[in-house]
Amino acid sequence: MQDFTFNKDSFNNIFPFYFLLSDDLNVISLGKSIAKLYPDIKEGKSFAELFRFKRPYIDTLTTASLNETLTQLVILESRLESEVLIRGQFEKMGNNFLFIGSPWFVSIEEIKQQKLNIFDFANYDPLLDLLQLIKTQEITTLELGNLLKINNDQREELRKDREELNRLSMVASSNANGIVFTTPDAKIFWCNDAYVSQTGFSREEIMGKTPVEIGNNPAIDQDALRNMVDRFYSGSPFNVEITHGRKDGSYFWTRTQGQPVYGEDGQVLQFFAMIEDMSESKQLEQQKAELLESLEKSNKELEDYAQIVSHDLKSPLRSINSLVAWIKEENEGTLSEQTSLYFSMIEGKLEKMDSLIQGVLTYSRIDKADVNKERINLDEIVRNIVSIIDIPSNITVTVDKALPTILADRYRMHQLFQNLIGNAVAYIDKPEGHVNIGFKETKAEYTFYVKDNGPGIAPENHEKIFKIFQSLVKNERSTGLGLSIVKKIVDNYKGKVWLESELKTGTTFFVQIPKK
Amino acid sequence: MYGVIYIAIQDYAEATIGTEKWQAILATGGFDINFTNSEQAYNDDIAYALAVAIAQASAKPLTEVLFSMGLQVIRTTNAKFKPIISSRGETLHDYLINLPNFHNRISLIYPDLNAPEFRMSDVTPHSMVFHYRKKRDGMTEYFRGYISGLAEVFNEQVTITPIPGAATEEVYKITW
Repeated sequence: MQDFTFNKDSFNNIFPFYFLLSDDLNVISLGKSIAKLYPDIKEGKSFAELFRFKRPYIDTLTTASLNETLTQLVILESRLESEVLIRGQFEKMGNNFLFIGSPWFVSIEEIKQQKLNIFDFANYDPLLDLLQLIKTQEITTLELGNLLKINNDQREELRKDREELNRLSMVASSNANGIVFTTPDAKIFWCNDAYVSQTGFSREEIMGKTPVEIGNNPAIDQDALRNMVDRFYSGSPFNVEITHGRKDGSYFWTRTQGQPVYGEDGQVLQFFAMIEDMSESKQLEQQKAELLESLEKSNKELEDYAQIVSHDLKSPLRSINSLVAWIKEENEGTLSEQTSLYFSMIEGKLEKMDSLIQGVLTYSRIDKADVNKERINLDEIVRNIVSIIDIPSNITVTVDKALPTILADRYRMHQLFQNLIGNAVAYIDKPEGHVNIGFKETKAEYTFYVKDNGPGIAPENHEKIFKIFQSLVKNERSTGLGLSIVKKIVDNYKGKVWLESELKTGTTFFVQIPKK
Repeated sequence: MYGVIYIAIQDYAEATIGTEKWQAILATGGFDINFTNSEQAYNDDIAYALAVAIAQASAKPLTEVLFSMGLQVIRTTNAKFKPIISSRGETLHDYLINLPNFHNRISLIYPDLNAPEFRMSDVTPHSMVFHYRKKRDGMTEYFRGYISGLAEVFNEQVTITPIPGAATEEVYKITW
């Protein structure tokens, strides 16, 4: 076989990254491209100073250890600045060592970074072509990766949509209200179980019909129906109270709410409506209205009755009073002491009867309209009361603090305080009686008090005394109406009345009136 | 294919101490190994720690476990990647000569794989000196097992004699 001989140039063309080491391992010749890749490599330099073996590992570089690498692929790294690895093999050439190899790159970009180009590689060297192939693969992989990401994103969106759809479907299906979906021309194409149950029609009977065909009934409010239909065909939402028919001819009250579903182009794709069965609340509403009406009626009747009765009773009372006065007048001096006593008792009873009738009249006339608010000086009112009521000489009435001017009805406030102060004075059982009147105020309300040192009220009677005709003591002048009147007035002002009391020590009544 | 070493260790461990004990070792030892990934980087320290754990669990001497593990690596590789083994040489001689080359190439292609480094010296037709650049001490028996495995694949009877080498190497004279 013919020996091969190359001159340096032709060898350089085939192996541009070659270098030749002398037997003392100095560079004695090098290829054009390796000089470009490692500018520090120069003829005459020591190989050991320029490169280290990355593979195989060699502890100490000698000709002997280099000889051992002849069978192997070697990977060299520069001891100088370059990070580029060069891979190849050593061959003996006489006493010299020839290295043939090429740099190891994993991308086209790395070649550019090293300022190498296609002319730096031998024509047969497949590296550039392989890197080009890798680049193409990389681009394809990147594109595939992007497609995969899009695909995954879409899958995730679909998953979320499906979950949302399932949730909504569950809400619609299990809703206690009837739910229907219709086409834009009002044909029902979906309804839930509740609608089937509400109407008594089967699903097959419902599908394809319009809600009006299913729900029409003799009691239907034509205006509400027209409103609903108009809004439907104009693509507007609606919310109406309307009766809805059943298959058996009966009907039920509903709140029917409809909502169009628009497509991206703004066209109505479908309509959905929720039919809430209002039968129960409608019934309750009706019962409440009837009850209120009946209550108002009986209140009015009672008031009328109280006034008529009181008026009619007052007349014979006045007659009896006059007759007693005439009898006493005509028989003056002839009546026995006992008879005179009986007549006095009759007059006492008549007076009480009169007070009672007056009380009933007063009580029945207090109504909400009386809260009529004007600015009234309570201090003036209370001092006036104190001056006109009959206060025994052993009782002192003191206004602890001048009462405020408030917004209220003058007459009702007069009644309220007159009853409280009158009661306090009337029931004091001590040789020296004290009644104190005063108030406290907060930002929202006034709290008035009327305090006495009377007999006190047992706790079990604290509620009872505000009820009508509940007098705790047998008192000729007590009608049992006073505190009921107080309570009714306070109630009309949305206030509160209560008491604190200790038996044998005294009682304090509190009245709280909101400022607004 | 370096993950095959862990798969081989698992094969050996399950055959020796059973799946349950093996899983217990993995769970309690905090070994983070993916046995389904055959491209996983290999690490001598992990292999050694696994050998210690298996030795404890099986009450076998550590040297025996290491030897068996090395042997099993070749057996499992031969079973799973027979074409790779056979492509590297038709005889034990050729295979061993090629072993460093193969790993050198691998180290370029997969720089993160931490491929082992070998070197052969004093090569004759029926003997050579096998150098392994060690990452840790204590792996002598493992490589004895590894070489024995290779001899088994090529139907050769080998004598493996550890010989003192540099501190960075495990060195064996292999004769067949």
